[in-house]
Amino acid sequence: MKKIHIIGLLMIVVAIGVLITAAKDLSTYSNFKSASSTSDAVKIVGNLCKDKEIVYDPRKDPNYLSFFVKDNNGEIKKVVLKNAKPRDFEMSEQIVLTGTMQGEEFVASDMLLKCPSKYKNEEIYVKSRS
Amino acid sequence: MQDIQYIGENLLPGSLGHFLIILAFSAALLSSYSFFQANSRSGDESTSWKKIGRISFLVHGFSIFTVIGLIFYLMLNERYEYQYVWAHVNSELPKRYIFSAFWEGQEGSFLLWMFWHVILGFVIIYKNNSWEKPVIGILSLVQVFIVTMIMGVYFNIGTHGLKFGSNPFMLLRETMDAPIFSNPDYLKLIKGKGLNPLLQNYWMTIHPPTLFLGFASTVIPFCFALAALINKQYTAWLKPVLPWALFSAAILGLGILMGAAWAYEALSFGGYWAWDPVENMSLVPWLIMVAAIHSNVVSNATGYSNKTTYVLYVLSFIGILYSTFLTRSGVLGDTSVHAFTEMGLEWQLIIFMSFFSLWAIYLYARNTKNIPTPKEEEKINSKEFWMFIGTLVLMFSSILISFTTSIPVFNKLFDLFGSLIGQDLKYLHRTSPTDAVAHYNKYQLWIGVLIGIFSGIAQFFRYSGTNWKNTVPKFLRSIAISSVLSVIFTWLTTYWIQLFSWQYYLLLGLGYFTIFANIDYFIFYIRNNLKIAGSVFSHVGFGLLIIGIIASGLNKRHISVNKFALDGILSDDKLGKNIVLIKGLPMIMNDFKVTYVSDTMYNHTKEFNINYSRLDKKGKVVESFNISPYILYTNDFSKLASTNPSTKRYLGMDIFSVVSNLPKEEVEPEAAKQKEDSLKYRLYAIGLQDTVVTDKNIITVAGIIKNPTIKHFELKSGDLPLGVKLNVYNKKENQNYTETASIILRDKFVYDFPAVFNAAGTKIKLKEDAIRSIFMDDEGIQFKPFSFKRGDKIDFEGLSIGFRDFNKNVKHPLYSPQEGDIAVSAIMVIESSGTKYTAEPLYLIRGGSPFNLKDVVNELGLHIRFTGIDPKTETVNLEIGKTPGKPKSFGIEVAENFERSDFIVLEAVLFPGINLVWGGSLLMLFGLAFSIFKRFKDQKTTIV
Repeated sequence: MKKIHIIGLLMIVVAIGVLITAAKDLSTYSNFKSASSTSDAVKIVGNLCKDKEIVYDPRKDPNYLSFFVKDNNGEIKKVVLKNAKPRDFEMSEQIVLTGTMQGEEFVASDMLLKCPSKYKNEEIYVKSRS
Repeated sequence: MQDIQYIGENLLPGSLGHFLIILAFSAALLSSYSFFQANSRSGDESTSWKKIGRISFLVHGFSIFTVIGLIFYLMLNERYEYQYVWAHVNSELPKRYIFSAFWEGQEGSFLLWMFWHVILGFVIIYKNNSWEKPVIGILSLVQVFIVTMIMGVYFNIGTHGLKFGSNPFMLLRETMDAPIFSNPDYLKLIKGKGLNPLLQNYWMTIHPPTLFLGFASTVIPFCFALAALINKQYTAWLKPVLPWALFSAAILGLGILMGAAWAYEALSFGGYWAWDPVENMSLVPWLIMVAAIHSNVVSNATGYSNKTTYVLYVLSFIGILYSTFLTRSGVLGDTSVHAFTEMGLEWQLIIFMSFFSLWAIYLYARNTKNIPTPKEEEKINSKEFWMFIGTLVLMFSSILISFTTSIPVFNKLFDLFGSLIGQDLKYLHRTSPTDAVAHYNKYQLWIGVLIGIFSGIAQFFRYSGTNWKNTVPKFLRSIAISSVLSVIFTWLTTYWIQLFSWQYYLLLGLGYFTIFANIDYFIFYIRNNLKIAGSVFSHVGFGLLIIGIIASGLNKRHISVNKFALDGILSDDKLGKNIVLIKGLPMIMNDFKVTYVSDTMYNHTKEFNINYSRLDKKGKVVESFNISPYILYTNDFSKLASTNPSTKRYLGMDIFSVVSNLPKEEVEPEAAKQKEDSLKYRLYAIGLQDTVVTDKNIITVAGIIKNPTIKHFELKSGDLPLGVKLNVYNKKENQNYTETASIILRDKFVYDFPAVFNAAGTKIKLKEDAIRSIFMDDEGIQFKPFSFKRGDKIDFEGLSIGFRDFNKNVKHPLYSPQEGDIAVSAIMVIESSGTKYTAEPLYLIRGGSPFNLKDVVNELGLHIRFTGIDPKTETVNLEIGKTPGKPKSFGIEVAENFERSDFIVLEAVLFPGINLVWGGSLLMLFGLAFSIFKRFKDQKTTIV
């Protein structure tokens, strides 16, 4: 079984190598402060500031959405997403942004929304009279 | 809470259901115990234990079926006293979605999983061979664990309450504390939440049962593997298990493919595969199952890879359990769109997974020395050697995918470990890759390359490397032909799609290589033995899939880009993905002229009709088609529930169009109200054929419409509708527009339907006085009596007035029919300097007394009353009068700061070669299914 063993060992070595390089793709959640010190794309978790202005006016530009996010350190920055406004955006509880800091704005290339689950927000709908 | 006697609750099905769940649990436990007893004994004792085992398994199965039946019964009857029914059904839900509603929740999907286990168990029992006893013994034990997930039993250990599972028969008032439950008659007041509109489609009906059958079917090879070691029959299991494994891989593959097709069709993730954790964790068990099949085939043919086969079958099932754990424990949290939320089942799932993993490891460790393995190692020129390497590659792929997908689990483990050693290990936390798709693709590309090579060349080797010397020339010829063809086809493909780096050239080339090598193998090696062609189908399918992925994934592009506006200003990747389409205004998108033609609304759906016209270089239309994407509002119309794309399919590509956004006021009632409040209305007095000049427009009344058609509003009898046709000349646009403003009087309420001139930015409302002014006012009119017979004509103040006929089918705006009415109208034709008008005054006998309702030709100020009728002579008596001077004016309110809302935001994506993805995948699965029959035959010949 020599050959198989050699191949097996080789594969394990390659696997470890690949996993180590793959692990470099894994990032830690950043914040606005450290995002401004790098030009690499970072991931930021934060909450939508619902009391601040959310701008999406497709009449002007259907690919421009801006809003304010409070990151985990409590810092608030304006965020710009060059895409249409996703559904349920205003309802989101938590936002994960991928992007870079450009001046005072965080320009996001990707956005993941965490919305309240239908299991949590238990409300009882009362029949409306017809 | 005090005892309240609730009214109308039906508690019997719930108690029965809960009892049956506990019965299912006990019966599975007994079945498992009995089958193991039967397995370890012999003779009559074994037979009678087996009998008990079978009966208990039947009881278990029928309990599960009845539980499912009861939930359906409760759902169909909308018994909202049950939380599960309330959470998933409402009265608006079409009955065809009842299955979707059933397995939307965790409890329902656990039941679906068990349902398939029971069916598979029945098949094994029906086949009645020597494997039944240990296999059903293990299967029943698996069921014991799954039933606990829906058991809903509480134990009090000290001060801690311990909860086992979540019972689908929980009452709503037990699960939440709301003031409404102090009302004994609460059932009359509540309605269900219903099924998420996103899930109201046919995919939700067919995808989960297929996927769960796929999940469930992995348990059979697992049971066989364990049974083999328990009974120390180390090789006898390898033949009967193979058809089960092939079945599992085919169905699980089909389930995953359906999920991909759903994601693609709904365009929710921009394609068919997004490397979402939930997708990954159903792919991994499939990859392991496919690896296991290869290993199993090698074992059958040569006796090598026995241990590997055992390990892989076990891993495939454990992979399913791990996947269940990830999706149902809430661990994935913010990394996946699919994950169920926490239900407190983590520990139960971990115990479930650990128990079967440890048992499998224990059995393996105890038996490993006895599992026969050939003394000699595989020859490098043997088929088994290359298949084994292929198996390792598949495992490699699984490990990489699982590693990245498990990051949230690693984070939890760090937390757990940290809390054990009393340190905060949060700094070790990692997040999933910033660009998940790029991350996975980067590594899986090489897996594709390696599989492309091995699935091509391994076919030409023989088991044990026999006759190698004689076959070398043939082998080299096949490899050479396939390689040359691959290079040529790769080169040809570059005329169709772009390949951005050498890695993709390599992958594409090897995709072709496996296709040609397998076709070659089919033609020159096995054409007389079609039965064993399953592998050829699967490998050719794999090759096609690879080509399809490169074409559709790498060359997917947004065409909803207005190049004219942005040409030269922005580079291609900076262009936005969306475009604004104004109703009736064509836009140029790529080589298409795209026009938003119209929209229609029915129930909760608004469908848009969009025309695509393909233009040639000279701007001539060469092809034209219409698509209809739609949006779905939530049940209460408070927001959008989903946006559904529409696809134009060609053989070589798909064009996807989705309405990605709408003006806010079209979506949210709140925004619509805000917009209305922001409008600045000014009141003007206007009469028929009158004109008023406003800041931005010149407005003319162009006519009266007595029966206006109003969108989304159904007229009832008794309504008094009035439409005024308005002509607006906009000074800025230098254009004329015509729209109708309407009002409806219903039971003293006025319903207002303003005229909206989007292009002119103007909205005009009709004041209520228009009705009085137009219909009723006959102040100061001198009526003169006339008699008419059919066909008679008279002259009246320069007008020619004729009586054409009676009309028994009366339609007078002011008339609402009552029982016993005798009503008839006279059709009057009026001619004034060449223009014809009609009027239909009404004569009516109600309760023995005559009444009449006049009709008015507003343009002429002409009023006609129908005052009497002589049935004998068929003569009608009419009174005719004319308004002196000009017709009276009425009020209109004009707002000229109206922002247009007749547009949609469109996203259009072009996917080339998508059909290769579907065709290739289906061929791959067909190959697996094809092999099942061959292996069944094999089995029969060996058993007999």
